[in-house]
Amino acid sequence: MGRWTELALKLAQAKRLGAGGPEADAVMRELAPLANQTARRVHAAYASLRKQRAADFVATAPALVWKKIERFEEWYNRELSPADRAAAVKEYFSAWCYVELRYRYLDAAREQSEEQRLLSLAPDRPIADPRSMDDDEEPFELPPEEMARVREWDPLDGVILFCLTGLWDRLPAGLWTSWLERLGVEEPFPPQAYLRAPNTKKRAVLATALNVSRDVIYQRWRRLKTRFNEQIPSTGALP
Amino acid sequence: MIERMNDVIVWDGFPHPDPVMRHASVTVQLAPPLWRRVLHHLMVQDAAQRAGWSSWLGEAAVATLRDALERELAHDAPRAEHSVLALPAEAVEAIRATLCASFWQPLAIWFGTGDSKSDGYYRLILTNGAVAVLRPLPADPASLLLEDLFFTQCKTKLEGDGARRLGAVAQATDRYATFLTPHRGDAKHGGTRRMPRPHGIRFVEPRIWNDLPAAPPAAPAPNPTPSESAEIVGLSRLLDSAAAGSNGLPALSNPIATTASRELRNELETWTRSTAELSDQCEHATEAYREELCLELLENRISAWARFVAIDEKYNAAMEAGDVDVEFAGEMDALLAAMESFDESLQTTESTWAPIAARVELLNNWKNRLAAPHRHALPWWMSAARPSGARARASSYLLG
Repeated sequence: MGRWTELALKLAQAKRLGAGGPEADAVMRELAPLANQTARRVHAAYASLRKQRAADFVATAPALVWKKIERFEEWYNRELSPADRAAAVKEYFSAWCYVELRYRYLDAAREQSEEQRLLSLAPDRPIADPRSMDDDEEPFELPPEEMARVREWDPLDGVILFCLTGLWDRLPAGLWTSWLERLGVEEPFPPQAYLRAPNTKKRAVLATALNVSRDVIYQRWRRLKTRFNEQIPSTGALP
Repeated sequence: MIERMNDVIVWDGFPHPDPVMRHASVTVQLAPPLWRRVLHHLMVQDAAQRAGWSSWLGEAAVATLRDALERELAHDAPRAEHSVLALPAEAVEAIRATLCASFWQPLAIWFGTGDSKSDGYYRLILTNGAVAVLRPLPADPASLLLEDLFFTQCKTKLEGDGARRLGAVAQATDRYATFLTPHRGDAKHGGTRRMPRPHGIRFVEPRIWNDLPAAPPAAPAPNPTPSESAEIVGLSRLLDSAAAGSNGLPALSNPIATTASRELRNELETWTRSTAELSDQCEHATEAYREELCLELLENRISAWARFVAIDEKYNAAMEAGDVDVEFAGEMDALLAAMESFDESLQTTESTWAPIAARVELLNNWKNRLAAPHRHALPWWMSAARPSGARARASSYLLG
């Protein structure tokens, strides 16, 4: 069995048994450079993502491997016969890692392309910046039935969505404050650093203010956009 | 014997470089600003370019030009003195002879439209690989002003078996397909129904020049270098099979991939340095030279992409087989770092090259021939240069 494959199976087993701990950490430390290098190779072979997104993709590659490592174990046990597994010198994990990261990369590339298309179609609708709002813009109001649904949201989802859309001041004060309390974040929020940041830096500043990674912001924002646009079509699609 | 370069030189009786104007002869004018541009091209510290100038004009002429340049940069000469430039007569005659031969049968001709409708020009790749930019004088279309002379990578590509390879790449990628053959019969010299000519480059084939003997048969191609092998294999993976015409090529061997990787890394480092100077170089350059610099940059990026794909294919296979040697693994890390640095410099200078790339069909031609999945996930530098709406409509019209 190849070295990487052996490590990956060990990691999957530790994760499956809930034994995160130092052993899993040590294995992950060994696998992380391989995941990073594979992500860089995928980027070099496609070059679709711009610099910052590519850097994010490479940085989050080990996390993706950790997230999906059980699938590798499942695939390994399902697809290979015991004889193949015993005799194999092939590094199945590096091949699996490349394929997984390539799918993820192509998803991110499609997303980037879609964002660029939407931004070019609606240049006046970037991620909201309160300073650039037109005075005559229609006031945003959530209907009561939608507001009831929003109250059930995960606080982090709510804070991310309403910060990035610039609509936090349209929520009932109690709801915003309760979200912030549950996240352990002090008011006033968002902070001045966020308000002053250019649109291109807002996600990064928000991640720092919420003490989460940029990947968390990115993934949640992506999911929320879809959910928000599906659930509240009357308010117009988010960019 | 010397020629004073602050005078206008006029040469009569040249054959017209444009095949549809072959009945006419032209006058070529060399004005003093040309020499200033040549001086600036000499500033480019590229060994191939320096060698090109030396073998064309002779060491003495190049030394004279470099001295003049150094005096100008040092500002230690009185203005009247450094405004006078004198070249050996042999150097000037070498330029005349090369132009005359090349007008009759250039290696390539490009019909540039320029920024405005009335701003057309010819760009010729001369027989020695230099590029000449000629612009018809508005008052006298039978006179062509030699606006610029420079060497580019084209010269390197034309050396050895380069001309055949360049032609093959042009054919495979159809870079030049939208640059149609001249409108025979439509372009009436001096007439009122002169049709607009699509701009671009077209490699001259002997059959176009009916009145000339066919070119001598090409010598057998020598074995490709590791870099050339990587580019050929990489292109066959990137382009759809019909365009590449070479699908099914085997992957590179381990030693060739390692060597190709090292060579690519060295070239990437050079390209990164030259890209950092792109904005400065473009600032005082002629339109044709700017275009050449920017398109060369993109051609380098495409070459790097193709070569990386071939090298990575081998690396991937070695990884899966569990037999990546230390040298190859280290080389891959260094190559990735060099690719990232080059892309960073490319992104930094995007505002310089993207408008020019949007004006020509180079990237569109590549896009149209990419194989899946690359066709669906374009490189950022390929989608960066988007033509404007009017330009896109025009392209669509031209391409049918």
